[in-house]
Amino acid sequence: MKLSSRDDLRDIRAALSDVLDAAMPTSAIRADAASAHGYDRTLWAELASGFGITGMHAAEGAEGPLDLDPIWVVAELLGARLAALPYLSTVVLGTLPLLRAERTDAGSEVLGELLEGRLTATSAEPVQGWRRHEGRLSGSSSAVLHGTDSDWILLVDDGRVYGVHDPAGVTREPVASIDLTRPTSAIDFQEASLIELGTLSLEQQDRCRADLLTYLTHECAGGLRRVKDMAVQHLRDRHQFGVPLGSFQALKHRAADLAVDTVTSTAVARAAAAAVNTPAYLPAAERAFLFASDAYVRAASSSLHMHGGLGFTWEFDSHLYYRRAYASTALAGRSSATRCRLGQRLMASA
Amino acid sequence: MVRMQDIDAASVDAWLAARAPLHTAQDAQHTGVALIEESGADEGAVVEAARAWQREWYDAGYAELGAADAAVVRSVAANYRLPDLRPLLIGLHILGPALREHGTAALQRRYLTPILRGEILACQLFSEPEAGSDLAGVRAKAVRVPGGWSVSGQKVWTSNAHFADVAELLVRTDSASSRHAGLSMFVMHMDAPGVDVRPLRQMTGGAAFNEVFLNDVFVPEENLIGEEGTGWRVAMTSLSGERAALGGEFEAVPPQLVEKLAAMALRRGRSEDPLVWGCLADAAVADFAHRAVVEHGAADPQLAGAAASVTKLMVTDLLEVVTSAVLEIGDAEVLLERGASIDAQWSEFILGKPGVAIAGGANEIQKNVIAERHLGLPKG
Repeated sequence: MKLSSRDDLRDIRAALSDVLDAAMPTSAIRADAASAHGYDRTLWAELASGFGITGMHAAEGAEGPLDLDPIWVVAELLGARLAALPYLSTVVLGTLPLLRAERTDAGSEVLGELLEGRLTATSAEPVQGWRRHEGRLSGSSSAVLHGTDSDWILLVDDGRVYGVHDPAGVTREPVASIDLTRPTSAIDFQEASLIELGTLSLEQQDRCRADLLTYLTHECAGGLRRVKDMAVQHLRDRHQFGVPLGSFQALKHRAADLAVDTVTSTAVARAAAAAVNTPAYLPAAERAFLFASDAYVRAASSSLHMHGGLGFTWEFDSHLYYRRAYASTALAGRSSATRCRLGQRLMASA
Repeated sequence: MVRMQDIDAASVDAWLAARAPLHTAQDAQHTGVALIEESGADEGAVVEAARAWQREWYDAGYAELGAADAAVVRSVAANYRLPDLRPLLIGLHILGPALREHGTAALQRRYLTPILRGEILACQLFSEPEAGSDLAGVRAKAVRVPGGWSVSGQKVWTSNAHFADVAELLVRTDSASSRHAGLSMFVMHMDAPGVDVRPLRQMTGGAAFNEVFLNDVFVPEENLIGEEGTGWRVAMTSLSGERAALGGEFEAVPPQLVEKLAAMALRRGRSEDPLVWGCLADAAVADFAHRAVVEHGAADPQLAGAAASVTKLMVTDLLEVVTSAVLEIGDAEVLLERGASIDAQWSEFILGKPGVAIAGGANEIQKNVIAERHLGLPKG
């Protein structure tokens, strides 16, 4: 198996950082979020065709080995920058279930397009009022990531992966969420045509869930590092009572707490990533996500507070991270449900 | 000196399998949860068992490994129920690093190998009544005498002084100096004339630490670690070794805490209670985070140096989360004195917890270290 070496990953990290820093100063985050699609389509096209961002994890094609490490690198970088790109939706929610599935011919074809970056995808789960009748779906999803312009909408039901591509019977309506940097839509399906793309065993469904949780954990770790850096910089620069704010022990200890959460979230992300090919993948990913998503909320809130009134202004970026942190806790279903299931399983194995 | 490289997990596993039982789900019923010391345990037997284990461990080549090999060994060893190795901690992780980094070749030969082999147990004579978190306030003094130094002063909070063979001793060698300058570090023998060890009873009821009075104790010249006047630097090496060990590889927390909580819930007929599930999940998350920091805490290049302090803080977080779970699952039973029932063993855990947060530099000191040394915030 040829997987990315540490050097490969370092190169990916450095090169992608450069591209993103040039293309996405923080001012651009807001412009992108306010644009029609909610993200910079030109940048996405460049990253997909030029950088190959959508297919790095399947460098030898759909039948080759799956190498998730590049995904985690991208996750940290995008998370730190609040990039609104459809990477989570297309790569994590789109390509990974298809890569892990027993695919139909249609499934392989869609996967190829997604890996090449020619098309985008998302997942519409959970669907309320799901009805499937003779290959047609009715129901609705209230918050679909990149739901307005994703080319394929994926759904898993009873171990089968379905895709919706035909616009007939699909109504998409943008909805504003607390997170300004992740475009979200409500989707209504009325007898929408379903195409069977493959089947996923229960075990593979668990892995897909672990993929999502591990991705989000890395995003949280990236965002955490950024809010920690913002706060530390402010404590150095801002003077009150004739001294830098960072001279006050109460604030030093808050900054240390941010560092602890940053180090620990990065560590739990690594630990989940290290479990990818083991039976402990989902248990590790659940624990990692529960820690990091909580830590991110705690840190984004604390960092904002440390900026004083500035932190509460629209112009300053603190609130974008604060919004993202809360929104991330909900992307994998309610955290309390994840926590409850985890505890129940621990009890069952006692 | 035995050194190994590129250890393979299978050989470590085979070695351990021949000498120690695997952890099993039932261990959770049998191993204790005390944090500082096991009350009622036969301390002499614990010390001897630790020495014996370490001798074999060293002879097998596992006592002195590079970071990567040590991590392999640690992860395999985590599957086995090993003897209580806490009597070895100070020698291996506090005095050991100081000797390795600052000691002469002769000093290393004389002390380091026996320490690594469990033949010499150490204690640490740093803190004093007037020098706690502010260690630079050390007053115990050493004056030159023919062939070495004569030491007088008082030390406190000294774990293991009552059975240690040697001490890592921080004293002021320049009487005109103050603060960090003018301190020196020595290896002192605990059976030297003038050393008086008096046990201090802790809130747990046990006496794992002591006051140590030094009256004109002779320490030979060659037992100086590093140069005269560089004691502060040597102390910093020891303290970071201590921080890392307390937080991580030295199992600052009893094994299988989450399994023990689940076993208690089962005994108490609470296995279907969602409140219990939530508590177990919280404990499992905190336990996972603590382990992850031990394993991957240095992954962040900007904060790699802070990993030891972070690990210590995560240990105390874990203990708090587990305590909440203990109280939810075990109810008032866990507040009974140990021995009243199996669940009453948790009272020792609850009583030992404050000691962990204070030992090795109070948590607030760790936060100062992180903020000033690793985040670059102003000192003072």
